[in-house]
Amino acid sequence: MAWRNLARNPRRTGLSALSVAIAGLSISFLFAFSDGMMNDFRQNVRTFVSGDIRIRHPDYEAHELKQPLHLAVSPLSEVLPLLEGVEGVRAALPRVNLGLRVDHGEKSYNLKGLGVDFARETALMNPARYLHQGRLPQAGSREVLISASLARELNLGVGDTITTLARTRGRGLNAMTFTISGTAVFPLMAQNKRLMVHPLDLTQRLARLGDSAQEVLLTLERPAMAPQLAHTISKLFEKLGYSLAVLPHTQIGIAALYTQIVETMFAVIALVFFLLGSAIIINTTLMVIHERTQEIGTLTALGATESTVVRVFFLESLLISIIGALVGVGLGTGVAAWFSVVGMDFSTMMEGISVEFSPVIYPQITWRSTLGTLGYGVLVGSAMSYFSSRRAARVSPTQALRAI
Amino acid sequence: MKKRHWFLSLAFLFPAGIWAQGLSVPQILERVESNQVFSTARLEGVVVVNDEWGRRETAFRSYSQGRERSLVEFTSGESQGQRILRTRGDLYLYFPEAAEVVRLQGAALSESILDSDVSYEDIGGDKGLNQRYTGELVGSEVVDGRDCWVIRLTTRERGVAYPRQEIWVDKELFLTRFAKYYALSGRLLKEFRVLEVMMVSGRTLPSRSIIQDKLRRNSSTEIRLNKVELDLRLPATTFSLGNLTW
Amino acid sequence: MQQIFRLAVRNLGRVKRRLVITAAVIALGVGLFIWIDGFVLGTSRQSETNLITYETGAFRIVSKQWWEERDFMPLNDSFHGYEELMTRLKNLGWHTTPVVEFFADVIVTDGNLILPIMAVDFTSLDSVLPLTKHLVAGSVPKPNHAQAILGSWLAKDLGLEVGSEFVLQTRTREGSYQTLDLVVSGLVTTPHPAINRGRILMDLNLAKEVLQLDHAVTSVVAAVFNPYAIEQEAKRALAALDLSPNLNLLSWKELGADAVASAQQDQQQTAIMVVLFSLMAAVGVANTMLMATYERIREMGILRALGLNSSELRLLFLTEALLLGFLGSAVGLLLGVVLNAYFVTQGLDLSAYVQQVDVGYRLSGVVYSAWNPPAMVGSFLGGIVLAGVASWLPIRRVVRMTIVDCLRHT
Repeated sequence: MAWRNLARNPRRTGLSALSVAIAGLSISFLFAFSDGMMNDFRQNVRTFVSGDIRIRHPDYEAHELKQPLHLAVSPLSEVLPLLEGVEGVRAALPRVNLGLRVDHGEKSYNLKGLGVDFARETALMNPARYLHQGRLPQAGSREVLISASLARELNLGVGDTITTLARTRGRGLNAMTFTISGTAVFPLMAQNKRLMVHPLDLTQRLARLGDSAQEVLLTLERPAMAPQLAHTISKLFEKLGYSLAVLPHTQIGIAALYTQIVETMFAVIALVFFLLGSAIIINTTLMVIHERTQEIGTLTALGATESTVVRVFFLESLLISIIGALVGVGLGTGVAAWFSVVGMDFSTMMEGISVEFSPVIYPQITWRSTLGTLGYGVLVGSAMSYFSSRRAARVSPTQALRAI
Repeated sequence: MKKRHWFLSLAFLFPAGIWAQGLSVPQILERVESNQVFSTARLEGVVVVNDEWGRRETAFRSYSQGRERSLVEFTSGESQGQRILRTRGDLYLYFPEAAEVVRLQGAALSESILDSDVSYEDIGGDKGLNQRYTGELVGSEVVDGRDCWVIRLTTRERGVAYPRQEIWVDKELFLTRFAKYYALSGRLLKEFRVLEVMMVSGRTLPSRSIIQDKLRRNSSTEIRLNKVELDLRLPATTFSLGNLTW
Repeated sequence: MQQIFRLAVRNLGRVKRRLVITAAVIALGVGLFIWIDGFVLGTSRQSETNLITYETGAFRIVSKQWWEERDFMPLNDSFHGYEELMTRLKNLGWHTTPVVEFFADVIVTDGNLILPIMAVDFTSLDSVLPLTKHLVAGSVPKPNHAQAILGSWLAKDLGLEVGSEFVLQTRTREGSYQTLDLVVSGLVTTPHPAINRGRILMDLNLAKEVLQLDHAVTSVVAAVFNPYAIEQEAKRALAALDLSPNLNLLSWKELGADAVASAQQDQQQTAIMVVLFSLMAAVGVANTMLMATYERIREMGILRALGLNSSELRLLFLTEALLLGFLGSAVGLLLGVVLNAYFVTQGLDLSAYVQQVDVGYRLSGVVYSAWNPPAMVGSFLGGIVLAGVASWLPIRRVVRMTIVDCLRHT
């Protein structure tokens, strides 16, 4: 009978279902999109800051300000194979961060230097992904990558040479001339400022680091295993006599904290969506019930009990909510799914100059963006209807029939 | 001996700080400098740096001409092959793996060489002490068994790196045995002390000396001269940029 | 017309329930939109706001040479005549403060580190860069005293607390070596991490003396005058001043170019959420209005039967819808303004909701909303227009039905 009732007044049915659908669509897409943004943020942190696990000299953190090159992970030739041999570890990536200076024309520039093992980095940073012009430095050469904005600032291009000065581990000075093999644009704007990426062996030679690196980042087969694996590796190091600090990404201070802060912010925004969504559903339901007060009155006058009335109306509204929620969440998920493949491209313009990098967000289809939102839509719609139909059923038939 | 005493006692009759042993302070300073500045010289030696990170030895070879030109090359250790050229008031650095020569200017000059207690600026010095400072004799002291004048130098120009210095000059050898370098605030920045001397061509040179940066912890730099050749013939191109990079 | 209007008003009052339900949806739609728009705008602009408030000011006057060499901040790129500049700017409405920035070797008990030092006039600093409002320990340095305020994270990294001593080694403007013994008089924790991580403040007069500055400074910093037109401030100032050729006036965007680029990315991405919300609100309001109007088809039939012609009917219901929209939007505007005001002034302390990961620093997790007058006006009008448009469709249908059909409608 519920079906027949629904079909009887398609306009009303349609509009009530629509109210649930609107809420469902908006919220499911919201979740998918904000999860996409969080994912992007987390990916960047993982790629450039923490990996899944980060390994450093135990005293490095305390002296981080002074950029202590001697507080390094070494000997790399032993530590790297050891790490790569641990079950669950996909790759071990040595990294070095240096302060550099370039004298160009009449001016001096302070740069950031990043030393990476290009061969290994296909497992994490994958520098080829960020190439803008030219190509990656070749192994065994004196080639480097520089950020596109640095190339612009110094008016240099692929094939040009650049001489950089650096402080060595022994705290002296050293300088080296490199050839620019290519330029790159990285996703975090802050990184693009005056960055030079060199092959690790060149960095080690320039700063006389020997067989060491400032830190080693690990990528895991299953990133969720980071805390356990970090513990395992810690124990391994202890046993073998290496004094190194092993941290899973969840414990890497500032990044983890900021991640939580951003997530909380998104939760606040989701709350507002829920508020309005619920208000729309509730109000629509109230109006529907009221519209049908006459109907209710007729039914009770004909002898239907309160519980029968409630059951009928509840069933109807349940159906409406389910249909509405399915349509809404379905649409929302559909749009999100499409974008999750194609990506949402936010072209950044800076003062009218289009910057090379466009951050792309891929919405994430998750349990809460689908089933969770579905459940919410059905729940609010039917709960509301349950309570208001109960109230309406209690009104005396004469009163009900009189309402227009 | 007696004669000396008499001269010294005469010193008290004259305005303090000007006359000592019949010499004015400017004259003492001139003689000190003439000991230190050579028409040409070739030195070989070792720089030993001791600080909280450990001990590092670097051998060097240097050529100099007068006050204004010098070429230093490090011949051992981590910095082997690096060269420093001073000429015409400029400072240039050569690094074996750099295709370009680095010119140091301004604030970069206060950076320390080999992270020692000596900065690039310290090895400079186009102008003599008398030109930059006014000297005042403040007394006599025995340093390391040698009788020395204590002379206080106060800058007479603007922009002098160490606005105040105190030097202990060996009265016989006219060698600065001990020196203190101060910042404008009066705080002691560096100390210099001669540990051993050697005689070369009639001059006394410090064969071992030590410099300490007093603001940084536990740091000292010892400079040892192993071989000194003075007044030799140096090719005209020795202090050219071309020679720097060769 | 007047009759229609009165009828409309009476109609609205007649069925309170319907009035409340529909007006509530409009009010919530408008109010929450204003709030979410202000919140998203405020948070995505947070880093820019922090930059302007605690670091760059609205704009700065520096010497051209100094800007070229800003990586090294050489003192001999300082300029004279800053008092006159400050007076002229004051007459034009800007609060300003003079600043000298330079690098020094900061020597503490277990080592040394080269850091930028900022010498400021603490009396005029507050109205331009309100750093001292965020003192978490100690107090502001007394004039001419050898004291300093540090960012709290920096102090922690250096092992310093209030009362600790440290030595600065640097060179004077002339080039002579100079040292300065300073005592930490206070610590600040601002919402701007860069300050907490790297700021050292000392008294300007003392710096002038010690650095042989001869009454020159490296920047004159100006505070924001009009928060809604910050972009134009630098241009306005530049046009009004007659700067000597060796000086340059730089806006906060140029001063903080790196931060700006990052912030723009954030802004564009979070804007999507506001667009999504407004879509939901618009469709929701329309849906509600449609239902409310369809509900009254019988009523419309009766009115028509009583002699109201089509255009009068349309006018009546449209007027009702617009009045409803106005009421809802007005309540919504009020709601939105109140909510936004709270979040603009008090902000939301997100760090209270996160699990404290020990980073050793106290992180400021407070986010603030921003005022966005165009959005407020837009949503207010939007609510009214939408109510009108959404009621239009049913009316059109009704007008084309026969009266009998209308009366028969349930």
